[in-house]
Amino acid sequence: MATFTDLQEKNRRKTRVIVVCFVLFFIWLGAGLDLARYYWSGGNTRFLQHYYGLFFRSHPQVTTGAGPVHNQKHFQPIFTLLVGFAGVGLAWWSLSNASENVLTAMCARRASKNNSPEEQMLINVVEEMCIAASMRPPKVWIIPDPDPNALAVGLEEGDYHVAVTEGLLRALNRDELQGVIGHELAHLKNQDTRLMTALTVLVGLAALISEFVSRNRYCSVDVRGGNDDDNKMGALIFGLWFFTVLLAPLATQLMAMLVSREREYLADASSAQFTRNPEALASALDKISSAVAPTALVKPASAHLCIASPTASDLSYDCESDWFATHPPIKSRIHRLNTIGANWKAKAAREAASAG
Amino acid sequence: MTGLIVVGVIAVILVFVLVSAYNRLISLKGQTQNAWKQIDVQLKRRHDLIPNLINSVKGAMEFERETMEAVISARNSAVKVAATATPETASQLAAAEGTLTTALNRFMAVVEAYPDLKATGNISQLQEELSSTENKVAFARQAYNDTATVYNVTQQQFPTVLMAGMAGAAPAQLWEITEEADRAVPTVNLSFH
Repeated sequence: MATFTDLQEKNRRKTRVIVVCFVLFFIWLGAGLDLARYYWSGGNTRFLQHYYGLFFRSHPQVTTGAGPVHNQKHFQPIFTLLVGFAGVGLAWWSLSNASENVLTAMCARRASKNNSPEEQMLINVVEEMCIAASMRPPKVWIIPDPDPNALAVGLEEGDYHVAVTEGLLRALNRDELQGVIGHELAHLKNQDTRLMTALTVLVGLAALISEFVSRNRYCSVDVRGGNDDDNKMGALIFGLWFFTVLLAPLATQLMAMLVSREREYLADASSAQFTRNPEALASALDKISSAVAPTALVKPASAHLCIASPTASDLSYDCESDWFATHPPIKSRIHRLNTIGANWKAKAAREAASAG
Repeated sequence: MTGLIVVGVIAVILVFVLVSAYNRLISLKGQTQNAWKQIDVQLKRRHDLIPNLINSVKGAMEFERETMEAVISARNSAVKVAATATPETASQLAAAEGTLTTALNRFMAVVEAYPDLKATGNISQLQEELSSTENKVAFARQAYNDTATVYNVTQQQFPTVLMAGMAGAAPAQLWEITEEADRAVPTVNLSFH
């Protein structure tokens, strides 16, 4: 039992570190610019006016003509607040979007026990896994797609949804279905859906800022007057800031995918905890990965919600070092699951030996 | 003066540690009780399902009366034990449910032997419900055992051990699997593939 608890704790710590890095990065995006302004504000601010005239028009040194303004320094965290508010606003907007929209976009329909024996089994399996996971049952949906795949959406308890494709119901046996449903419920229980939505927003925001800055590159730095050291300091900070902004989209994308892959491993481990049958999930992953066709009805934007990446290229069996993949290679997931199973068996054998 | 401050700080930290230890125990106690209630819910489902199952096969299985009656009596005694069960008496309930499981397995094996009986849709639906309920009981038991284990271990750990008395924490009994038949419950496959 210690094996998966350890794994969960390790993954949670990693995710926390990554999220903190994300937050720090965004603070830097805002604060770097504010710092540069602070050092430059002793001198001529024409450059900044030129660069971001929109925000600097109301700068006190520009509007108040009276008195020597050179020595007045104001640290105004305009950009820190701006980037912060933009981030919070975007996050709020995307988090408040109804999760049922995602499912209706995939032509999903609600599953019912009376429709067919397979759907009766599916609903029962979901209820069983909910008991194992100590959570309330989510709504269950069927996606009319012949490719085996499954996904979870929802941001808070009461609004949780699990959807599976018709192909999945056909391809898997009861034990394997339990493993897959356990994986999806783990995503919900570990609040992965929420985290991934937030990360998607951050990635989008970084791309937006970078675009904005690089499109406005036409002006030159024109700093006159003021303290020389301050000017240098300002230039240094601004250069550093500019560099980070240009790299931001790439870096955030890489980090988001890193988090996503960690969450997949965690969901696999949690599923093993719920079912006590890691081999069944491993065999389900094997079946899902051997499906050649991509899941057509799942949009790329929802890829991180699925049990296996819905795009065909990511299904290739051993792409060990694909940094931009939302999911770890299936081979390594199966390997980890089998390792958990083997550890449990070894432990049980040791206990049986010491008892008998 | 400095000494006083140091003593004060240590006292505050100590109080904080003890309070959080107490809270942890209370929270675990609640979780254990909740997990226990979940077993109760699932056992009740199982007990309610059995009369349905018996009724739908009664006519076709007149000559297997003994097997049916074994299930009914095992079910009735399990209902009686479940009515008064608490985490402290988990082993009694486990024994009663074990007997019921054994009787049910024998019964289902008999049903399997009658192809006409299996052919009716109602029976296969009931069988799926029954096997799902067996799974649910097993998973509820697993969740209870996991929670109770954490609760029991925490009671013996430092610093929570200091607060065990004040929090009224007593070791919860685990739901042990005693019989071979019972051990096999989650893997019993009653579907008609």
